[in-house]
Amino acid sequence: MLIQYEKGSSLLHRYDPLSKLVILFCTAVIAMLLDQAWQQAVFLLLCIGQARYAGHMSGRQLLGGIRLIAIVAVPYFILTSLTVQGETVWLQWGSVSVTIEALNAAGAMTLRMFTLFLTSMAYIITTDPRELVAELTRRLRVPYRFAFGISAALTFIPLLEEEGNHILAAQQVRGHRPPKGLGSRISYGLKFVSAVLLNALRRVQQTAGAMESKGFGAYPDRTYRTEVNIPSWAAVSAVIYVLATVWLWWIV
Amino acid sequence: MSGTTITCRKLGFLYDGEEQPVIQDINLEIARNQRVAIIGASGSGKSTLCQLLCGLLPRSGGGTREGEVLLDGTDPAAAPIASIAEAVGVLFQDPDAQLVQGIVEDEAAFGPENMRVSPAEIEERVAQSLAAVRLLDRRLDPVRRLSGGQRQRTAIAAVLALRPRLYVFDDACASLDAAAQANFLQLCFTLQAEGRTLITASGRFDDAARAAQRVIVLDGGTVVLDGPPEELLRCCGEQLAQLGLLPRPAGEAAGTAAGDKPVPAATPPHSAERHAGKPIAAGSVPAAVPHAEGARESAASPLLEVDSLTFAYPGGREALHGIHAKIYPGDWVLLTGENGSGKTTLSRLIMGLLPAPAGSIRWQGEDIKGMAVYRRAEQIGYVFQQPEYMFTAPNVWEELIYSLHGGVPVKKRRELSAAEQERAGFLLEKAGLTDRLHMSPYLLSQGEKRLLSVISQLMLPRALYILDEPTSGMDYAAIDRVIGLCQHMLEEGSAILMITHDPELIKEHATSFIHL
Repeated sequence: MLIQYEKGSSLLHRYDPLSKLVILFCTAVIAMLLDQAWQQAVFLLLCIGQARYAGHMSGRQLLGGIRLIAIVAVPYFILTSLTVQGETVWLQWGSVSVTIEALNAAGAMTLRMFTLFLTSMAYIITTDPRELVAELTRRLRVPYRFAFGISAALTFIPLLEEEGNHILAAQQVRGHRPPKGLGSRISYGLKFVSAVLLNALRRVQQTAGAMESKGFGAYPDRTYRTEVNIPSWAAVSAVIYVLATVWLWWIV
Repeated sequence: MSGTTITCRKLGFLYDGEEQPVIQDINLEIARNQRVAIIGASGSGKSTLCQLLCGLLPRSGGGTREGEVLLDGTDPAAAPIASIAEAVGVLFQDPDAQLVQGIVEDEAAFGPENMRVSPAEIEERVAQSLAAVRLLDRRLDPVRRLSGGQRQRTAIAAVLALRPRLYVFDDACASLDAAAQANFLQLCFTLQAEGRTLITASGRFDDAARAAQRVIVLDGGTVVLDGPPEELLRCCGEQLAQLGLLPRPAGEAAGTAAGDKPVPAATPPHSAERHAGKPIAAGSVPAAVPHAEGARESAASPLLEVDSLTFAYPGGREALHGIHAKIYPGDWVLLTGENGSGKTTLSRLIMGLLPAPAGSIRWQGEDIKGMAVYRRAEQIGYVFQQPEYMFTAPNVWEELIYSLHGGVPVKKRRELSAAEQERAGFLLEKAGLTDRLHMSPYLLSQGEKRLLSVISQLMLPRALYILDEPTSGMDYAAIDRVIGLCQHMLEEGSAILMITHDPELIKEHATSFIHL
C-alpha cells in the first residue's frame, strides 16, 4: 500500500505544513489524554470524518490504512484484554478471564493506535514534502540536511516500494510460485527482503554520491524555488486547536 | 563562460577489495572548451574515470587513487563540495540513482537550490533545462511514471540546470530514442558554444564521438588511442572494431561469433518447430509494421496474438491504443518506438506484470488473462530493462543456474545434469563471463550485468523470450554476443521479442518490426 503525498485542493491540502503539523501534534496529545474507550472511539470517528471530508481521502484509502494498522492493533488488543487486571468480570473461560476494565483499557489503547496512524497518514497524503522541508528550514531553522532526511524518507518510500514491486515481478518471472506454508513463506519473504535491501543499499550509495555532485551540503543553507504562504485562517485555527488541547488537558 | 582545464597525471584507481586496478597510468591534458569523447568497451574504466574527474571517487565511493587529477589546478577529491559543483556537472550511468526528489521539475531545481541560486533564476533554469531535453510538458509528473528514456532525460536536465563549467555525460544516450540522441548531440554543440568543456563517455564510436574534437579510447584501464575522430577512424578502424567500438564487417559479426556448436538443452526442448517463414503481425494502431522480409507464408499457428490491445495506467494516462501483433515460433521481432511510447508496457502486459483486458492477448490460441506470471514464465523468458532487479544470487554462477533450482540451498539441490552443465558453460562462454563465475553480479560492468541477465533466462529453453533493451549502452562486441545468443535460441525453435533503440544494428537478423 502506497502512502505518499497526493496533489489535491482539499481543506487539508490548503493548510500550510507547519500549521497542520501543530494540529497533528495536538491530535496526538488529545489521543494520549483520553483514557476511555468510548472517548477514543468518538475521537477516532471525528478524525476519520476529518480525513474523509476535509482531506478528500477515499474510503478505500482509509480502509487500507485501517487494515494496515490492524495487523499490529488487533493482536495488541487481544493481549491487553487478557493481561490487564480488573474487578468486573465480563467473560470467564476456565482460568482465563476478561474484565470490563481490561476491555476498556485495551480498547482505548487500540483505538489510540488507529487515531495516531490514520491522522499521520492524512498528514502525509495531504502535505507536499518539498513544502514541509522548506518550512522546517525557513521558519523553524531546522538544518536543511536534517529536514531533507524527512523529505527523502517520504519521497523514497514510494520509490523503494516501486523497486520492491519490480523485484517481486522479477522473481515471479524467474518462476517463483506464490509460497505455501509458513516455512516457504518465510524463505520467500527473506529472499525478497534481502533483494530489496541490497538494491536499496546500492541505491543509497549511488544517490548520496549523485546528491553531493549536485552541491547537496555545500552550504549551511539553500534556496527554494517555491515560497510557501501561511494562510491566516490556518494559523488562527492551529492556535485555537492548541488552546483547546490545553483546555482539555486542564479538565481531564 | 569559460570551460575547465583537466589534467590527469599517472592516474590510477583501485576499488576496495579488488586486486587489479581498473584505471592505470592515465596521462591527459584536456583544454578549456574542448568537446571530448571517452570511449571504451564494457569494463574499460570509462565510468571510473568520469567519477574520478568529479571527485566522487575516492571521496565518497572509497578505493585508492594514485597520481593526480586537477580541474583548473584543483583536486576534485579534496576541494569543497561547492567549488566542485560549480566546476563540474556529472551524469552518472544509472539515471534512477540520481533522481532524488520524485517530481520532474524538482529534480531540475535540486542542484541550483543547493547552490543558493535565487528562486527566479532557478525557475528560469528549470524551464530551460527541461525544454532542452523536451520534457517541459511532463514537468509536474512523478518520475516513477516516466519511461526509462524519459528518466534519463530528466537526469540530464538536472545536470544542465547546474550550469557548471565542465559537463561529464556517462552513457547519456544509453536509453534514448533516435530523436532524443540527435537532440542530445545538438545540446552538446550548444553547451560548447557557450564556452563549456564537455566530456561524453560511451561504449561505442557513436555520433557523439564522431562529432567530438578529440576521442580518447580506453582499454583495460589505459589510454590506447587518442586523437581527432576522423583520424582514428581512418588509421585505426581495425583496432577499434577489435575493441568492439565499431561494428565488425559483415560476415565476422554475430552469427560466427556465437560459434557453430549447438546449444545443449537444460531440459528437453519444447515442441515448437523451427519455422522458416511466417507472416508477422501487422496493423496495430500505431501500426505494427511488417518488415519487408518478414512477410512470409506460414502454416503454423501463432505463439502470441495481441488483438486490439488498449491499456491505460491508473490515473487515466493511455499507454497503448488498439495494438495488433502476432509472433510465430522462430520469429525475431524488434519492438521499437520513441521513449514513452509504451514498449515496456506492452511487454509487461504480455508477461502478466500488468493486467491486460480479457481477450486482448492470446498464447497459443488461448486467452491468457488470469494465467499467473509463474505459469507464463514456464513458456516465456523475460529480461528486465534494469538487470539488477533480476539478481537474487551471490555470484555469477549461482545467478546463472538459479532458474534450475529456484533458490533451493546447495545441500538440498540435485546435481546438475551433464546437459545442464554443458549448457551453462556454453552460455557463459558466449557471454564472455567464464572468468567471472565467483564475482557478485552487482560488481560486473553494466554490459556484463545485461549479458548475465540474458543468459540466466536462457538457461531454460522457452518458446518466447522477451528482452527489454538488452543492448542498451553496450559496445559492439557485447552486442554481437547478444545477437549470437539470440540466434541460437531461434535455432532451438524459440521466438524473440526484443525492445530496442538499436534497430539498425539488429535489423538484418530480425524477421519483423513492431513500431509503436
